[in-house]
Amino acid sequence: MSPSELSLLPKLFWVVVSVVGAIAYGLVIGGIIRKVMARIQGRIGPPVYQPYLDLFKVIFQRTATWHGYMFYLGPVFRAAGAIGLFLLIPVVFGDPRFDNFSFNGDLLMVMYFMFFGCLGMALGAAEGGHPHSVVAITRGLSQMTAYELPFSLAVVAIAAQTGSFSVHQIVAAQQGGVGHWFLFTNPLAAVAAFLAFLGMNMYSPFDIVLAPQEIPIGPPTEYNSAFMSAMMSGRAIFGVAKCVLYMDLFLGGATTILAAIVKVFFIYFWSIFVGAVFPRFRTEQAVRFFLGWPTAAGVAAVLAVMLF
Amino acid sequence: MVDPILLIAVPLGIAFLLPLVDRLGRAASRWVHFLTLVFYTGAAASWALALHKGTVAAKDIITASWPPPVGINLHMGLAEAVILSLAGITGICAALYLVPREEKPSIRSIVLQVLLLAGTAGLTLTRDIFNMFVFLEITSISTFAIVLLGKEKKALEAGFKYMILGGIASVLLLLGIAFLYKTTGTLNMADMAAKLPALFTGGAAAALVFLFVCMVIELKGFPLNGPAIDLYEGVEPGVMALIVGTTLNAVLFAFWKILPLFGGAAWEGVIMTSGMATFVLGNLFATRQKKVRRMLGYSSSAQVGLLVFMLPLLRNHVVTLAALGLLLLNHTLAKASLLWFTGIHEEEEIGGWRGAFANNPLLRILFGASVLAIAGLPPFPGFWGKWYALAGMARSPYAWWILPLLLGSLLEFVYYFRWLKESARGVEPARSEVVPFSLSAPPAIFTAIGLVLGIRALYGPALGVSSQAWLWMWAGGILLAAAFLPERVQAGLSFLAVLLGSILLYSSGALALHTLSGFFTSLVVIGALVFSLARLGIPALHRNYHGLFLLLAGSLLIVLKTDSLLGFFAGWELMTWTSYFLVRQGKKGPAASYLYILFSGAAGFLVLGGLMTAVAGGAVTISGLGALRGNTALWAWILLAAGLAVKVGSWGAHIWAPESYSEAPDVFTPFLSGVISKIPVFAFLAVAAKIALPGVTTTLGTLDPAWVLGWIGGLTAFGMTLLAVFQDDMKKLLAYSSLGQVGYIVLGFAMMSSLGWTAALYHSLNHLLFKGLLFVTIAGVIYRTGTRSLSDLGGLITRMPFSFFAVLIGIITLSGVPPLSGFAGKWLLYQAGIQKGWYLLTALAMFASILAFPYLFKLIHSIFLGQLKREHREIREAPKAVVLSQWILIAGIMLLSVAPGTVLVPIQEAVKAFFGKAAFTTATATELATDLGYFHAMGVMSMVVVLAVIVLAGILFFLPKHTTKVKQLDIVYSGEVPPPPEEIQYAQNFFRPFERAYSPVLLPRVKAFWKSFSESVLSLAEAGRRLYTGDGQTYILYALGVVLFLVLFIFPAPASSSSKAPGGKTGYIVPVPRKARPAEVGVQAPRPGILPGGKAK
Amino acid sequence: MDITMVYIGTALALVLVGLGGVLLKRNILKMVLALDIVETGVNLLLIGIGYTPGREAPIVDKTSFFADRAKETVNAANLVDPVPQALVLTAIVIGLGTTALMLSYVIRLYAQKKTLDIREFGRLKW
Repeated sequence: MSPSELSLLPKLFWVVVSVVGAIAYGLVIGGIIRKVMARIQGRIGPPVYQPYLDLFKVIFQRTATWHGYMFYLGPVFRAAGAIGLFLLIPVVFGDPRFDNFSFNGDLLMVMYFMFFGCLGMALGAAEGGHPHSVVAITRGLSQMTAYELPFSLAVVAIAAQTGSFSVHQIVAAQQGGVGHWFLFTNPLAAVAAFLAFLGMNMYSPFDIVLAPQEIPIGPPTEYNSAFMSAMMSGRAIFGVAKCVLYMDLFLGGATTILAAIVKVFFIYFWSIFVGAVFPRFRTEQAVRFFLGWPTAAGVAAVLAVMLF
Repeated sequence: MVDPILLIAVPLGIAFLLPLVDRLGRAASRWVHFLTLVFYTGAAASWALALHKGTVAAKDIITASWPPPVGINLHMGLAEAVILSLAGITGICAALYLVPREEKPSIRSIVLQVLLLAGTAGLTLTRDIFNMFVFLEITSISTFAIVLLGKEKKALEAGFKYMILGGIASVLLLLGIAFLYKTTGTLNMADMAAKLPALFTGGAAAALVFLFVCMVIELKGFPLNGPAIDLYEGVEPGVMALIVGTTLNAVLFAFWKILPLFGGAAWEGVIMTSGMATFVLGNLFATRQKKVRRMLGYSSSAQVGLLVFMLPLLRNHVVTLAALGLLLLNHTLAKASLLWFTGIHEEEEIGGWRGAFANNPLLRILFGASVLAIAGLPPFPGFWGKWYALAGMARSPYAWWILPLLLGSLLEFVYYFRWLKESARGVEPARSEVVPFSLSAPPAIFTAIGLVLGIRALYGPALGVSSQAWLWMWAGGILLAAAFLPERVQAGLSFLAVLLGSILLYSSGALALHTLSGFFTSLVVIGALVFSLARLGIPALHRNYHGLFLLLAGSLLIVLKTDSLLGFFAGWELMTWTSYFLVRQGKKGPAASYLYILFSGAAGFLVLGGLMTAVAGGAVTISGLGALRGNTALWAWILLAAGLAVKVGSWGAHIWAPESYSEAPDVFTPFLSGVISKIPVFAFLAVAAKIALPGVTTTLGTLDPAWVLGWIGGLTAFGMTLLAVFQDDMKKLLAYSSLGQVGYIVLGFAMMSSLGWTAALYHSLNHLLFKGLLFVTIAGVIYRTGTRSLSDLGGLITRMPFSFFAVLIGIITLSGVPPLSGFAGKWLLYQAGIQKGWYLLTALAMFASILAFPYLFKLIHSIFLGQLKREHREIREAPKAVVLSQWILIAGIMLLSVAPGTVLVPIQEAVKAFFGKAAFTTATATELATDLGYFHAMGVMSMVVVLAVIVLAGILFFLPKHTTKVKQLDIVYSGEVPPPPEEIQYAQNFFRPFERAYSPVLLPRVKAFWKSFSESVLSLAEAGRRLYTGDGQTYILYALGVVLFLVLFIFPAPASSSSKAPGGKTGYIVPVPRKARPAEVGVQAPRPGILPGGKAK
Repeated sequence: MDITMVYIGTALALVLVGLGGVLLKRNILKMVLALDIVETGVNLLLIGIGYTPGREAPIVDKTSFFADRAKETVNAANLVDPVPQALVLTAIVIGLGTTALMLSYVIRLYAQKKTLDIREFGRLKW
């Protein structure tokens, strides 16, 4: 439990700043990804600020249809879940301004809060009544359950090694030089977690979940206008939040904003670079992949903690 | 007091007078018959009462004024009086029963019935061995004469075979008597027993073999029980009931009287082995039996075998006379009732019992009660008898015999409950059976006797059955008797009773959360209240539902409150059968409930084994379990844990649960899943955990049995969750889910730490709330739509919005996603796991919890989302009572979500009492912290709410004023519109890729295992019962074979039998002063060469 | 070899003959008769057991009982054991009863199936 050193109003101020900053950064990363992927594929690609244009465009669009309450609550869940997730993770170690609301819960809370947005999205899309959205959701759920196994093992290994589920303590345990990062002190756990991260980020080869969007039907088609904007910003901040979490768990956290930005960028682009060179897995192949080597690495990590 | 000799003389005289009386008309002779029986019963019963109270002493009657060794003497003691009272009542009931069943009523039948009673009295009272022979023949002749009078054609064949074998038996008896007389010079049993050991020679040994084999034939021991079983199949059941109630008990008692002749450890072993073999094998063969009466025959043989087995134990003061008496009483009452039933519903094959007594509720209840009684379930006398007998055995060196005994008892469950299964209401219209009073009265009388005796036993102060529990059970009993009331009225009354009972419990302080018992009682009360409320909206399928439900709740209160091991087990078994009958009321309930009772029965016997191990260690109360040490503690713990693991449906023994949960009445399943599955958890925490568990030292190091249990829990959580994903039946899906969730609870318990237990307890409550919510809501959906299949539904959100919301809350809570209350449970469990050092297990639990997402999504999507089916467009919301109960549960979940501390703080108190260590470092209503992590419930909840409001407000701000409602089919298909527009709902093969990915672990191995297991048991039974070829001569050959076997191998010479005795295996015999063991006598006298095949010169 | 052995040997022979009949003869009437022979053998055995060579039958007649009381005691010591004989009397009566009942079974069975072969009466089995 880390008592917040700021009183409520300054706290809220810094929280708003972090959230806006994270969304902005997330959108930039999205732009860079599109640029990078285009270059890899020999295209020029859209400008880096393209996501901003898209966002502002959809914010000011208006929908004329009404699908039912749950349908519209879906993006709300999604955005609230993503922002909430971000708010539960301390961004900069030892800086109360960027501590967010991490006093609300520990690593377990963060793990489970990740699902909040997915759940809302799944329900909303399903109410749309389009069978293909449901196909996408079942694929997503199948894949999610699979990559959670190596991730759980990694989390358990780290928690066991630290003796705590508190993210603060986990970061604190890695201070004092690069050699203290869990990336190096528990490389097996890091392997498991970073392989799981590929699935979590849903880029190739684990992007079959998003395939129905390409046809083009599924959630993004059904959701338009302001709902789309909520989803887009949700997605942006969700990506950043996951990277921040990985940074805290394996890369020793960050003591400055700049370090956080750099580390997040590299973590994010780990999945992009892998995605750029691998073709897409079918769902069952993806599931089996995660239950294979990543899980073995995770089990080895846990055993290592138990034995040494 | 009536002179006991009149019990022989009066019926004997009347029997010869009756043909004269008959000249006055049949009515006159019937009256005389009846009065004789009343005299007989009254005389015997008055003796029994007086002897029981101790107002008179047991009496010896000397005949012809010769004192005993010379003259024939009779003895009237308590056992004799009870047996004769029972015979008298059976006589009355049989007379009542047989009257309308005789084709041409003749005076001969009456005469013979009276004669049979005279013979029974003589056989029971006499203390002279030759006199015993005479009365044995009298009863046998009168019995077979009655059989000869019957209308059943098969009876002749059976009777003849039995008479031939009986002839051999009486020859053997006579031979035995002759040799014994030659050895001892006396015919008086006591005198003979006193003189025999001193003169133990080969001749006497052979005589004992003859006597024993005669008794085996008369008492239907294995393998000489063939013709006796034929009798059950062939003879009029009314007559068989008469025999069971009279001759059988008397012969058993006669064996008891001559038992002192069989001195020595070798004989003891032979008698016990023979009895136990008969018990186990009889029950085994019965499992394969399709013919009802023959099945009863095997069962009778088995039950009597059990009693025979216990006779030496009674003599060694291992088992008390009371225990044996209760078993005998129970067998007579229940078996006679069942025989009478097979006469009322005259279907030979078990398949013909479908819908038996369908329009006669009284007979249905009586029939069910008789099966419960014969299966040894409480409150019937057999339960108490078995417990006391086992407790006696557990404390003696005979403890290992408990194992086959329990095995045989479980086999009894197999075939008796199969009978109940087959007799459930069928599809075809039930036949209208008009049952005259005189046919239904006898079973009613017998069941009532058993019930009264049993309930009196349950009132025993040592059992600790609280008055609150009695209140609930009596309310249930009354409601059961008032089953003729309309369903609505019953539901209302039952709800009022639950409400009143709950208020009383609350005001008596029984709901204090900071004690284990109070915590679980609260679960029962919450479950009973909310689900009774829901039931007001959804009528029960069957009249007896409400009464049984209250009985069940009462039995749970017994389990939760008592400190006595016996009280605990009585409550446990009451719970088993009441819930069994409730499960059975579902549409396909009979088959599902059969599995339920088999596994519950097995679990019950495992628990019983554990309790008996504890008893062997000297424990009587639950709080006394802590004194157990060493291997006793270990085995008590293992057996208890195994039983409880079966009862919660752990992986490997889970196959009963999905069936039972899904086929039980929809309004009962929530209680089954939410409350009843927690009772084994309570037993884990409050009973098993009392035992100081030692580690097991193996070659690899010390193994903690709790660790094994933890893995069982973890694997259950994983396996059941995985299976839930592929279910199409929504109740089955939730059933698997329930099993998985209880797996977490088991895991938490197994950690044996304050944090682990806190997790287990918290999850118990939480699971009740969210799974109850889900099951109740599903019940509403099923009630409205009439289907349980997920693929038949869809889009109901518009028709049943409240139900949708309830399911939404339910699945979020189940998944453990914050901010709802499910998260706290996971949070506690994982921290407990890390703290305990069970890292892999913790990761497995995490993985399992995430595996729940697919099925939760499937559940909510397939029912409420997607496209609405045409036939469901007019569906209404669930009944108001259901919605109301949903809201109550949602309110509970919300309270726990915002302030889990309100429950966790008292739980911490409860757990602290065991481990002395608080689970939390900080624990307020809304904020929790442990050594490992922290969690601010209120903070998370407010964060989520604020964020959601902000985002929602933003969206609403940008939302235009006017929107068009999109119709169901107005969706985009890449610019195409499928012609013609139709509902498309993704419901088949949901999660197909997922299934493919997991296919290697999805093979139904457990089901296959149990299938092949049951098949091999049945084929064993099939092979075994071929022994009874039906050929009369084969049976005689068996008899001679047994004689030869005993003479050649078991008692070849006194020397070898004496060499066995000091070995100490059965050296427990309490030396009866005037009887010496062969070892002490050590006579090496050569046996005379007159024995058949005796000694080779 | 004393006379008791003769009794006992004969009795044993009868029992074995009877048992052989019960086991080997398929005719139920013959089985009943064979059983009767067994019983007879056993009765003979009983008497044989009670017999002591050189003693008199335990019949107390007027001369021996009423004439001289002192002589009567001597007489009693010279009598063979009366109990087995009493037992045999009872056993014979009972044997008569059972045999009669079995024979009536035989009659009814024959009426039912028109055969006396025991193998035909094996419908109740397993």
